[in-house]
Amino acid sequence: MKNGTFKKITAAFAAVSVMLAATSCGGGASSSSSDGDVIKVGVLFSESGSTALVEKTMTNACKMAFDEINEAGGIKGKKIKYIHEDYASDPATATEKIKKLVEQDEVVATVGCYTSASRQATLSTLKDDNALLIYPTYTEGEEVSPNVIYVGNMPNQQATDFIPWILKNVGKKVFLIGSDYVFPKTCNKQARALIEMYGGEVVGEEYAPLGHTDFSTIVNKIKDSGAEVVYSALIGDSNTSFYKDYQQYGMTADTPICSISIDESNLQAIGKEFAEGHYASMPYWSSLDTEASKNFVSKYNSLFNDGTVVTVLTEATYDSCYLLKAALEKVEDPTDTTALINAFGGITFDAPQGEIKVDENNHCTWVYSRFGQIHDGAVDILYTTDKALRPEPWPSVLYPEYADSNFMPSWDDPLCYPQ
Amino acid sequence: MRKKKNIFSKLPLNRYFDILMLIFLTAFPFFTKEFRVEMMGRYICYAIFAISLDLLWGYTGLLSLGHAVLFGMGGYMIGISYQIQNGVVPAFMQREGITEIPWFYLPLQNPIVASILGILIPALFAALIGYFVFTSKIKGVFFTIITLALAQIFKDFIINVQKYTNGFNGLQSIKRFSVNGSTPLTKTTYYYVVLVIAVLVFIFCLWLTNSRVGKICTSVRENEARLGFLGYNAGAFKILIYTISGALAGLSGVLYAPATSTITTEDIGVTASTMVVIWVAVGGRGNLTGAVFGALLINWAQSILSEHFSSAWQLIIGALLLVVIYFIPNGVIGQIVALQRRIITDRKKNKLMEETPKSKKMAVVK
Repeated sequence: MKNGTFKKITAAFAAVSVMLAATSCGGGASSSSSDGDVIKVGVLFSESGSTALVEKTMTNACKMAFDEINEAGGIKGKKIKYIHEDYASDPATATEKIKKLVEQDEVVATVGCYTSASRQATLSTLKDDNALLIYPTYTEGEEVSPNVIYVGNMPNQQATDFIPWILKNVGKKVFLIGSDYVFPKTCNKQARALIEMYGGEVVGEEYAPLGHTDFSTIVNKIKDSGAEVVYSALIGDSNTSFYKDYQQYGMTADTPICSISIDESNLQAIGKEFAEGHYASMPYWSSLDTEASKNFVSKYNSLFNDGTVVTVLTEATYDSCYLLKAALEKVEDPTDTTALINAFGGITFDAPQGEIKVDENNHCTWVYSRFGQIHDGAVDILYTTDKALRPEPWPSVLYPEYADSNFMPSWDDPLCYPQ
Repeated sequence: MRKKKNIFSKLPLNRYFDILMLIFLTAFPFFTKEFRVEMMGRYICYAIFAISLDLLWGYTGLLSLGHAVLFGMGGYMIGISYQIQNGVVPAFMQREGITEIPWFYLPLQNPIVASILGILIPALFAALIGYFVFTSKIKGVFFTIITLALAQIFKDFIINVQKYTNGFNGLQSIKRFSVNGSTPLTKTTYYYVVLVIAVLVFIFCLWLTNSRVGKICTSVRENEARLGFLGYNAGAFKILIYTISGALAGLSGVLYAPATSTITTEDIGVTASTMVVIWVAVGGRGNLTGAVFGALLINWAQSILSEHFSSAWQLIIGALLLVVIYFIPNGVIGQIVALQRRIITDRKKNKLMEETPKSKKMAVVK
């Protein structure tokens, strides 16, 4: 018995000392911001928590882009050193990690954040420390922060060409559905305005709670409404259940779902059988048949064999890194954040989706609009804009008053971003 | 006489540990960067939160898996306060078509009032839940299940009334107590404010647990039935301690939201509630020191490990937790306290042996 107690005590002390060792070695190794021939860049994506799976492909894209840039000689002879932090899908941790990257590692900019919640959690730190975040996710708009460059598309870039096409080719009676969240509601508000503008009719509008998985009621409502087409802004895993329930409760692709919020990873989860024949819109699809896109996809797949697939998020994150490179090449001193932010205005990059450009005035990005029909688990692209579309954070169909001021209120307006 | 001397001549080891921790935390801002100070400030808020759970779980034996609800109420009060400063309707409300600040938010405009409400409302909520649960004699694991459900319901509620709470995105830009547009407290000043409040809370809880009320709560944990036979109304004391615990959890939320400048639904749900249980379990429950130590240790370990091993840190934390829970179920500080207690009783027994005549000693040994 005595022996057992002794063992327990030893184990306890061992455990404590391991923990202390881990914490103390962290304290010691954390001050290494003196080497002058590298440019430090932060990468802030989750490796754990509820959105880790989606964000893995974004981390991969950063690795791929920065390694390519370094192999090609870096920026004015300086290599990029990227520091990855995991914010564990938690906005409060995102706040802590952006502070760590900016204040301790002194990065020149950070590529990161997936959810709007995590982006918004970093805003006050970015403002206080005058730091820069490059945000690659497609977003609902109605927010522009002076410290953020939005590389993901705005809702208008998905909807302005998609909706007239749907009304002309698919059907005029539209049922709007979405998750009960800011992104779907904002997108659907815009969709409704466009549908009415082009002579369509909204026959119903329904919102399911975030993460909802039982769509029997909603599918029945769609059936009863006489809708000819469903316009969907459901996000995340809800899509998987929705497409399955849609078929199970007797609806077919004759009344197609036109989604603005699914990508290849959702398609994988939904399954070929349930997604067949429906439509979707995004700036980039991995099925895009151009040299640049094919090279991008095959290089990604050869580098990362971890079950992730190339999606619009991968591409936008990759573009973010190259836009940052172009901006860094334009400035004298990379640590001068104000100059760096200004350098973003008007820079272009020949991305896998085609040539994109950061807007001169509103910090958002000109991207393509592409949509197609889902066939055999991939999107057959039916339509592509000739050139990148203008981003409208406050879309002109809803806010004509901002159309002359770069589609946004003035920078000092409290409506611009939560401050 | 001698018995008394034996107890009071030796302060429990963990009280020395408290003093050491206090010295360390006081000196902390002098030898580190400002953002680490801010981080530590946030963890001290967590420590207050852990203390509030320790009162309930460690001392009274009522395990709550929904304690973050009370924490979140405090945080959201102060969070809303900074959304509606100067009578401006926040963007998330305007988006839903609200043009005026709702009447029930008006008192929150003053951050001081919001802070007081952030303590009172969780306390009242805890009292109400406590009243229904404890007067209907719901005990043990059933209380735990109710609180677990409560955490999920409260999180869903906050997400679903996004008109008023900004739902999943949470509230941002919470200032460090700037009143009427004055400049917010600096990070270091705020750190010391939080530290002083934490010390006061600690002393209050020390007093409370050594008072009559505290002793009765400990008896609720040890043998509730016997307490009933002695004529005490155990339910009333449980409601009381749950209310106090709720007020302290609310207070920690009020302090926490300005420390991180943001509060979201991640801070109030089941996951957050489970985290605080883990801190108290690892530190050791029923002695206050353990709760504080556990909260500080695990949060630091998480933060530092994730900086160095950005993909494997959760595995390391998980392994360490398993080691602690498996080998020292009392928790780190709990084990130290138990060891010291054993040494004292051993010594007493030995003394007893020496004092007894030889013939009797043989009998004792037999």
